This record gives sequence, C-alpha cells and structure tokens, in this order.
Amino acid sequence: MDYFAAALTGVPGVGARRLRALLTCFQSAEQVWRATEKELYASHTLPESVIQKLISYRRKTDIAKIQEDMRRVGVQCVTCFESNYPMLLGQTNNPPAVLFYKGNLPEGNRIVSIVGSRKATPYGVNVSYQLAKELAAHGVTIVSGGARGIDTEAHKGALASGGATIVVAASGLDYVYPQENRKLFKAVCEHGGAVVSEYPLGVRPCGRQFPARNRIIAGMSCGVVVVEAAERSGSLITSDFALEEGRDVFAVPGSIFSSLSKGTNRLLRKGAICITCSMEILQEYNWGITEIPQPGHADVLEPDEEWVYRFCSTGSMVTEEEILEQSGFSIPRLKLLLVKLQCKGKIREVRNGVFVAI
Amino acid sequence: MFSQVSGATTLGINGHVITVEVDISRGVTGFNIVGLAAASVREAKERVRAAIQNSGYQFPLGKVTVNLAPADLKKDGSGLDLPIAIGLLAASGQISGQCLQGRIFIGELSLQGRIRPVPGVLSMVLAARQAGFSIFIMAPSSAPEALLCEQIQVFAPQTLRELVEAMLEHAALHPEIRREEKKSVTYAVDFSEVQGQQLAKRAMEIAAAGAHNLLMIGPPGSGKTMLARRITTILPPMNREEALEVTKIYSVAGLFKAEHIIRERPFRSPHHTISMAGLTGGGSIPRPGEVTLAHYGVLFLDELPEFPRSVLEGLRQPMEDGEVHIARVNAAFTYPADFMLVAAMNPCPCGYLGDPDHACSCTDGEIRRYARKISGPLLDRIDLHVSVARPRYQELTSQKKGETSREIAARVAAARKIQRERLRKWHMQNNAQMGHRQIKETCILQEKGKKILKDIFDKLHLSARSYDRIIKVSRTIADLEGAEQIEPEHIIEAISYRSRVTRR
Repeated sequence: MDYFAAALTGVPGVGARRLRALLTCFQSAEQVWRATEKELYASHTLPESVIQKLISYRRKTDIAKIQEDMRRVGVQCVTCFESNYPMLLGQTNNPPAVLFYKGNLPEGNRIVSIVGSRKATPYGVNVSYQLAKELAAHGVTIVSGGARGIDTEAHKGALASGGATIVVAASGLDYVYPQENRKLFKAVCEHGGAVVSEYPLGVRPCGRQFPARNRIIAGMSCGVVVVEAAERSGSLITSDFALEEGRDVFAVPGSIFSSLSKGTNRLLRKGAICITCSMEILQEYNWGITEIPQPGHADVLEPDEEWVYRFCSTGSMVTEEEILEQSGFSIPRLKLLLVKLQCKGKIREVRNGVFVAI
Repeated sequence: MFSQVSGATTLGINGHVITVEVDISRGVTGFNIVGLAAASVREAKERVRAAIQNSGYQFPLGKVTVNLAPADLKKDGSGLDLPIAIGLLAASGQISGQCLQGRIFIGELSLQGRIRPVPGVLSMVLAARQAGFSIFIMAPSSAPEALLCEQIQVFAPQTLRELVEAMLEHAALHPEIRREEKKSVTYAVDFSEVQGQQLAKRAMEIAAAGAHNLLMIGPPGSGKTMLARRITTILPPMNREEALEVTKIYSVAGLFKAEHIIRERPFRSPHHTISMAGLTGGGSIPRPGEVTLAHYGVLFLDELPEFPRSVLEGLRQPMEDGEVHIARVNAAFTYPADFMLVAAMNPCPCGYLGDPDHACSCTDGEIRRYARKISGPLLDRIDLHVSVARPRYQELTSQKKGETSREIAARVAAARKIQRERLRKWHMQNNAQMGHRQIKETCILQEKGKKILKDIFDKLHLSARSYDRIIKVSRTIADLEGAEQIEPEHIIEAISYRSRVTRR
C-alpha cells in the first residue's frame, strides 16, 4: 500500500487534481515525498506558496505514524493509477487521486447509486429499500452516501438481499457520520462492500465536502437513481455530476403535492429516465432479466381491512384516533385490523399511532 | 424533686413514645434538656418558661434537668413542649404526679400558654396505642386526626391553664367525640369531561386495571395532563388500612389539613425541577418525598425527558420494591412507595413530530437526544405506551358525553378482583407485580395465540425484552373482559401499547 500517497492527501492546498499532476510527474508518491525543493519547482505542478506548504508538511509528518493509524482503524488506500482502483470512477474528469477504503472495493461495472433526501417520506423510504434490495439480488452493487433517509434505506435494502454496497463518506474514515449508522457501516464492510472516502484519517465531516463526495457517488456508478429530492437538494448535485460524466440519471416519480418529489418530478420533465421498478434499470443495461414479471397474486383484504386501508391511503398520515372515530369499530377490532394490515405490509406505523398506506 | 411524663415524637413516618423525666434540684438556677434533642426541642425551654408563667403558675427555681428517653433516639419537632411543661409543674409539686400515668401529652406551647397542633399526630397516636396508651391530650385541631385511630380517648384543652385546672379537678374536661367517618370517595374531576381521546382512555383503563405504569406521548395541548389527573378517579377505592397509611404519611409531612381520613388516592405531580431528595425523601431525618406521598396513588411526571437523569434513576428502586430506602448517618429509613407511575412526554423537543397539522422543526439528532434522556431501564418498567393525538375541533364541540369515571371504575374493580384471587398464592395484588415466574404459571397462551405472537414478533421486529410486558398487559386486557384465557385479540391489543421510543 502506498502510504506516501496517503500522506500526501493531507497537504493543504493540494486537491485531487494537483495530487494527480504530482504523481504523474514524479512517477510515484515516494518520489514526491523525497523530491528536493528545486525538483518541485522544476516540475511546474504547484504554485510557489503550495510548494512551501508541502515542504513544511513533509517535515512535520511521520509516515510511520500514518501507517500505524491506518492499520489501527483498518483503512486501506489505492491511488488512481493502480489497477484495483474502481474503474468507472477512474474514467471520470476529476477522480480522487487516492481513495481510502474499509472493506472490499467493487469489481466490474454493475454499479448503480441510489440517492435522495435525508428527510424522506415513508414512500421514499419504501422505494429506496425495495429498489436496492431487488437490484442487489441481481448482483448490482449499490452506491450511496450513508446519510439518513433514502441513503440509509438503500444500504439496508442491499444488505437485506446479501448484495454488496458502497458507502461514500464525506469525512475521514475514522469519523462515522451520522453516528447512528455505525452498525450499518460495519455491516456494509463485513458483507463484501466498503466504506470509501477521498479524505485522510482525521478529517471531520464538513459542509463543503458533501458536494465533493457526491461527485464520487456519481462517478463510481453507471447511473444515479434519485428517489426523492426537494427542489434544492444535494441529490440534484449528484445527478448533475452524473450528467457531466455522461452517466444515466434515473428518477422515481412522486406525488405532485409532495415537496420531496418536486426535484425528482422536475428531473423527469427534463428528460431523466422514469423508474417505477428495479427491472426497468436492469433492462436499461441488459443486466439479466429482460422480462418484466407480472405482479404476483396480491394479498386479499377483508372488507374491514380494505376500509381501513383506503382510509390510510388518502395521501396524508392518519391517526388511530381518526380511524376509530370515522369507522365506528371497537378499539380491539381496530387494533386487530391495524396489526393485520401491518403484517400484510399494506400500512406502516410511522409514529406512535400515526399510520400511512404503503 | 422528680417527675415522669409521656410524650411522643416522629422519626421518619413512624411515631415513638418518649418518656420525659424532669428533675429539679437545688443549685444555680438553670434549665437543661438532654437526650439527643434537636434545635427545635432545645428551644422548648423558652416557650415552656413563658407559657408556665403566663398561665399563672410558678416556674421552679433551682437546677432543672429534662431528660428525653430513649436517649439514643433523635427527637425533632415542638410536640414535646407540653409534656415538658407538665413534667415541670409536677416536679415542682404544682400538680400531682399521680394523674400523669398512662397518658400521652402532645403539643407545642405558645408563649401565652395556648396548646398548638403539631404534624404527625396520627403516627404518634398509632405508635402509643401499640405501646398500651389510650388517653391522649393534645391541641383541639389535632383531635380529629388522632381520633382516626380507634379505641382511644382524646382530651383537647385550648390552653395549658385549662389543662392544669382540669388536672387539679377545679374544672372538668370532656373527651372529644369521634365524628362520623366519611365513607364516600369524591374527586373534583371526572373522565366524562374529556372529549374524544377514546384510545388514550382505553389505555388508562387498562393501566388502572392492572396497576401498570403508563407513558403518554403526544404534542402539546393534546390533553395528556388532563387525562393523567383523572386516572385516580378510576382506581379502586382504598380500604381502611390503606387510607390510614396514606393519612399517616400526609400527617407526618404536615400536609394533612382535613378532618377526615384521606379516602381519595393521592395524585402527585412534581415539577421537573425537583431534586433527588424531593423525589425520594431527604433531610438528615428524611422527610417523605414525592414517591412516598404518592403511596397507593399516582405519581405523574409531566415532561418526562426534562427531569434530570439522576432523579429518574432514583425512581427505579422504589418502582421495583414498592418502598424507598434512605440511609443517613444516624439511621436507615424505609418509607412506603407503592405508586403507579404515569408519565407524559412530547414526541420531540418542538412537540409536533408526527402531527398531521404542524410541521416538526427538529432534526433527527435532536429527537434522539431528547428520547435518550430517559434511561432504558426506566422505560422497561413502563408497561403501556400510548400516543395521545390532539383532538380536532369537532371532537371538542361534540355533545356526546364520554363514560363517567364511575362506570370505568366498576370495570377496573372487577378486573382487580380477578387478579387478586389468581395471584393470592404469591401475595400479589395486581398483574403489574407479576414476575417471570408468575407470568409463566398464570398466563398460558394457547397454540393459536402463540403462533400469532410469533408472527407479529417476526414481522414487526419486536425485541425479546418486550415479551413479558406484552403478556402482562394482555392478561390485564383479558381480565377486563372477564376472559379466562388470553385470546389472540388481547395479545394484539397489548402489542399496540408497546414501547416505540427510538433511543438509538
């Protein structure tokens, strides 16, 4: 592993572009590290002020310590010139010069990213989980940002069918953001996936790193599925990156009244590919099944169940109290119906006593 | 000259008979009180001296020593003024020492010579009667409280002079007459005043029926406090022993003002700024805390996450044992604390999470931090969780009257009776007290119920630790219906009251 390359990612003023230039010019990271001031000036890769920063950074940085830290956290790294660097990402305009990762990097090109709002609605959560689960079952690796809402569900969905999934983090891999996903990220690494980042250890998550992270999400995959996005949303940044790199943009249609579907519906109007089931993505790339299966035999609902289900499907969330009042069922009867519908997967309890149809 | 009188004091919530010995010897004039007397008892000197003189008697010359026995018991409060004054008068020969035997004197003295009431009279009388005393002398306003105890005689003179004159047989003192005991229970509130909220009311009925602890989650203004205030009205009435115990606690705490025994179950709702000492009891001789004041009643904690975590942790032991143990340098105290916990909280810091009409302005992190303020072990001890939705306009203005507390209370009482009989073997009163063993023996599920429970557990991802709680609650629901067996619908209803506070 190239610890010199890992160390160079920490130089202030040296981003992915400059680091790639340095590595190209000096052949290897070790030579950059050992280059004299004169050689650095002669390479014409960095402006003068940055060269000074590089030199002072080199002086106070201990490669052995970086090596030790990475081993302790279990982080590996790969430069964009190595063969195991994710291929699709390597083909982009501005790939990270060094990619840090925990777990196993994806092989092949069957990669799709699923992105969307952090404050997802139950609809978005279901779509994300379902899409990821079905795609992963067909051997597609799911890439997402590990954020709350849509991202988390996508990772969970992929894990549910035993597929590989990649979390692209916006911080050093010793930070877990958001905290509550610690277990999820661990599971991702243990099940053939990886958590990756372009930032060295010790970099905290901070606002401007998230759009930069989105370019990696878009870059790693053949296409980006936007499940739910508001009018101004980070997911739309990801889809813009995808377009720049010539990757496909898929969008899941949503209610015209939902503010979290405004972004996706606009994408569709602008020409994004409309996605209503996972097969449509598989068909788009000719990955496996070409035939869209007929919807299976649906669960038959009893008349009372049907009544409650309809009541829940008005689009907004309904409280148990409202159903009780409108239906005139006894409390035990209503509770029974609600539990049955939940078990049949027809409705979901979003909050204590608040239901919504799926 | 020497005399001996009996008085009484309280330590914790129990009374103790104190023997007051007075000795007057020749020597330099002085007045000493020995026998572990607290400051309020030592101050008796001045009150007693003034009261005796202002009542027209002689304060003896010479060296006066008052000993309070047993000497190792810490004595607090001003109730020993009267026995000390009487002892002084007897020792100085102004009254006969003969008429002091078998009597207990309780009361504080004013400088003028009036006898004033002291807190904790009921405990003192109960303890003294146990020790064989049956005649009590105290302030008039303490008499009704003392007479809650049966088979005793109470004399209540207004002043020290009136008492001494009676002892000198210059005047007659008549024993106080017992009043007719109040049998009925009256509450100022009623469940029929709550509009709508059918589900919450149902949950309260189940909680009351099985003495389960209850947590209400709902946005501000949804009526959580209103509902909680009414839960005591549907609990079964206390029997006489329970009522007497509650009255005793209130008497010691100085909160007993009425003349009748407390028949209504206590409802305590401390503010969330309460300290640990305020909740469990505190002080060098601990005063009863809120958990003890809620004995046999309801402890309502509104805005549960706002309570300091350490204070809430202090609730765990009393909730488990039904009593609270407080250790102090001089003694360890055990106070009863068999209460039902009713707690209320908002779903998130702003209060509007999941509200159909308001948008919640909290971030996920804030919501988790809010829920994390309540410790898991405390949540584990709350069997029923129910969400309370804000009633809509139609519900508030509807003319439909809800059920009255009396109707609900009848069902609750019937369910409690079934439970008592079933759990008699283990000396338990209600389903909430059941441990794993009792659940295994009394809550046998049929095959069908087991299968349903398993299906739901798998589908809804329930945790194993909620299992016992669900079974306990379904047992109570079955008892409310008078059903012998736990049927699937009971289980399903119980499952809907499971905990859904996400703390991760």
